[in-house]
Amino acid sequence: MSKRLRDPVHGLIVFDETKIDMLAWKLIDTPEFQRLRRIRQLGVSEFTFPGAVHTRFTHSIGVFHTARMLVEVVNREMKRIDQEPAPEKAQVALIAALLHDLGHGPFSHTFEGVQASRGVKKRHEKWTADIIRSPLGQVSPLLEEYRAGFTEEVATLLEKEDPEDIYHAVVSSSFDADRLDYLRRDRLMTGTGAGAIDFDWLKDNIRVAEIEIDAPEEDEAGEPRKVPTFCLTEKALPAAEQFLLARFTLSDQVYFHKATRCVEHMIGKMLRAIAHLAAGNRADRRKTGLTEDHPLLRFFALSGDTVENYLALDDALVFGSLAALSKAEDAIVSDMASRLQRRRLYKTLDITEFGADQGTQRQKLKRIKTQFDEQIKAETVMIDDKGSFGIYSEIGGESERMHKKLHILEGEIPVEISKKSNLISALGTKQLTRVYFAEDEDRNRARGRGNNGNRA
Amino acid sequence: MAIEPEDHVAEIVAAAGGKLVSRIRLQKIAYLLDQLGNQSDFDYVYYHYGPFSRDLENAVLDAEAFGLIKEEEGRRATDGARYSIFKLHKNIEEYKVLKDSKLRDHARQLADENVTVLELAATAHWLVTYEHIGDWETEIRRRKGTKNDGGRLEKAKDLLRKLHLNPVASAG
Repeated sequence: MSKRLRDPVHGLIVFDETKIDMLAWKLIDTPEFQRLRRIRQLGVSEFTFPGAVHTRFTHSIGVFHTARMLVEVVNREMKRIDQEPAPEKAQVALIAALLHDLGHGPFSHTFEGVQASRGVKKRHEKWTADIIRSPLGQVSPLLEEYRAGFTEEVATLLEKEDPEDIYHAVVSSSFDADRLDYLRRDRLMTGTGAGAIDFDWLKDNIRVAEIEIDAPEEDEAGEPRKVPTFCLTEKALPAAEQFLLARFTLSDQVYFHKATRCVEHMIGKMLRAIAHLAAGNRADRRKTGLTEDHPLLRFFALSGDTVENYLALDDALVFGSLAALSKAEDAIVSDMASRLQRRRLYKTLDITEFGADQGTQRQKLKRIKTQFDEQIKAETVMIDDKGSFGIYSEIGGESERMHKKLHILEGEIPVEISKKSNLISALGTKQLTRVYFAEDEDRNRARGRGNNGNRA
Repeated sequence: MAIEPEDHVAEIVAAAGGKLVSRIRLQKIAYLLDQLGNQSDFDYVYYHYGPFSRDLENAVLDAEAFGLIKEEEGRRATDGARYSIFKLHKNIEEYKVLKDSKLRDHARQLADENVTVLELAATAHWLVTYEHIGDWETEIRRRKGTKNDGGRLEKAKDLLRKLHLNPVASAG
């Protein structure tokens, strides 16, 4: 019998009695997938946009649903160019789409930052592959029951940084299922009206064409590597511009909102303090206010970063522990937990307050770094200079890869959209630099004002 | 003499001959120079093209804001894809960070290297050194796929060998 779910973005999502849909349904029931109910899609954006409490669970199901639609587009386009579809590759892409977020930790990127500060350089994509492959888990047996070797096929697809065929584009491209779900879902759940997406028109104008996959540079020698991916016809150019603008607007208004970024920094500070104590002796661990067997202490202990311990962590666990953490003997842990419980956030200073001139902004930032050197070390003043975004770049990351850039077909030749669109070409990278202060008085000093708030 | 993060950017561009093409190339050169003894204090994470430093990106912004370098935009002829061209705007009178002429020579050689080869060399080093992955070659093939083909991975290994950097240097 088919199974059905209701979804605020897609409406009715039906899992048919096909073998692949039934596998997806069983995977949704595994503890690894159910954990995603307790990880919010937008982390702590809910501190700023109270409606943004949607989870990676609903998002992942939406991605699976969207991936099925994209596989139909691939089949349609294969027919157009007289090629045979490859159902087995489609099945790998569909299940990879469903499971792509399994490896997110609590507060996602914030947690990765905490781990990086401890010298652990492991991204959530790697955790996803490890969870899928884990012989102790419930995901791999279901995948192997479906088809021998299916676990490796799915994990390998998710680990590959560049696509190698059109089915991979379902999971990673300018129009991948992840992006097509989260842009619509985040817009809906945050309540931000900006940035509509003409989804049906875009879908109808998708074509498959080969693009150059190597990063662009001068004087390229040799035959370029090419890969088939989703491109758009010229008729869809205005809709494509809107699509990229929607992403740009969400980055500007939601993903990089100053209060959200501030909360992320505060959670990061708290988790780093817990991690530091967890690696110490029993007396140190007790200073966190947590019980000896708390999952956070287990994970942060020496050699504690196993898949099993990682899967015990989620947003709900951390938020549910705030009451205990607020009574911690450790001053940092208790202060951060109390502040988060009551939403008593650090005070934000955005360096654009110093005017539009970049030279002035950067000079003022240097002055603040010198002036508050001691507080910065103690993290009662925190610098947030890792935020920037453009039409392609991601949070704190480098430029997007070629297959994630949007290509418009000029005849049959794919051209990167910024060459066709003055609007998109004009959108540069926006750099965000904020300073968060525990004390309002310090923020006033940083602004060059006296304690009474007057300009000095 | 105080050393600022933007000095690293300006001196890499200067040592490269006053012009450096591609932000990815700048990132990988900075990473490899740090492994060769430069002390930028930049923090690196693994990203789309291997080791990547947000601190370096900020240093580029400072170098531009303070008039040390200029950034221009180029476009690939075939598909119009954009890339950055960094040019030295203010001559370096005396090197403060790349004082060792060997580092400057390395910067010059790396600037002429294919950007994907640089990415593979930096990634191989990263996998072994920071992710502690023993079978780095299987891992790099898994992550980078066809990027390794066409002799690129071999060239990356040659580059690491010449630079006496892991994982190839330690393999003898």
